[in-house]
Amino acid sequence: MKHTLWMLAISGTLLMANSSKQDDKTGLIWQDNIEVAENNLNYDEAKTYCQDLEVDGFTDWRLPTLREAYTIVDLTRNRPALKNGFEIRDDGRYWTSTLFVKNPEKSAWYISMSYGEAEAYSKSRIYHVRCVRN
Amino acid sequence: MKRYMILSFMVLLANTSIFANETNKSSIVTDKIHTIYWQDNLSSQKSSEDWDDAVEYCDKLVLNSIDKWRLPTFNELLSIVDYTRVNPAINPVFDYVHEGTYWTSLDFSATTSRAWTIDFRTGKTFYSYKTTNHSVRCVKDIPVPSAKDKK
Repeated sequence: MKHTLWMLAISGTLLMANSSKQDDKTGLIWQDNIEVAENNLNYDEAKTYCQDLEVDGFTDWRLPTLREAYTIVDLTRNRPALKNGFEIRDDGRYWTSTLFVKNPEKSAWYISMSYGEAEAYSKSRIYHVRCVRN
Repeated sequence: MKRYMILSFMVLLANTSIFANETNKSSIVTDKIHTIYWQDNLSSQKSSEDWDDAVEYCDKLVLNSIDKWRLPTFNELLSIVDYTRVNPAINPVFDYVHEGTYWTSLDFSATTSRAWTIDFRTGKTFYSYKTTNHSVRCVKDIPVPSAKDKK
């Protein structure tokens, strides 16, 4: 954190935490940088990616649960079915941390930000990732 | 002061359970988070209606002398999904469950010929054609006692 602030000070620009967005309703802070659009990862990679992520000086990122992911969905919109306030608005499927209890070794839930539908699918599938922190 | 504390404790107790299957109203589940009643009788298991008929069915439903029900919103129906269960993936407070798809009141954003559904076999969410038949579980907003009623 100190390091990041020092770098920002050197660059001479005051940057607020602009690679993530806090949702006032839930208090959750969501990753919102270009990697959200660029990353295509399987479930295990997605989990590791969030654990290793450092954005806006924070390192306590994780994959959102399916319920958490639904808190940023706006089903009255589509492509993306995403609430206002996010910079990165790519649609397509995103991993959630929620395992499919019928087959937790092999399957987990994704949510599609195209229309907002959710389904359990093979963990080997390659989807986008938007990490979250409390 | 003592009386006040006892009262507070009772209020606390009353609020510890979010869902209550009231024994005197066994076909109704009370949802204190959304302040709604949920229909939970044989019809909420056996019903099969297209979307228009589902809307009308809830509107005409009378349960324990309570009338004018409605279809649940998407978020209301999602809130009773239990993703730690399958077949059915529903909060176990409900007794009458069809392992299949239920209607919500929400139109699909891309076309009003579809509406949102949740499949309680797994909790999968999907936009279904309104002409398809699905199960119905109605809800009713719990009336807030007015100042007049309190007198």
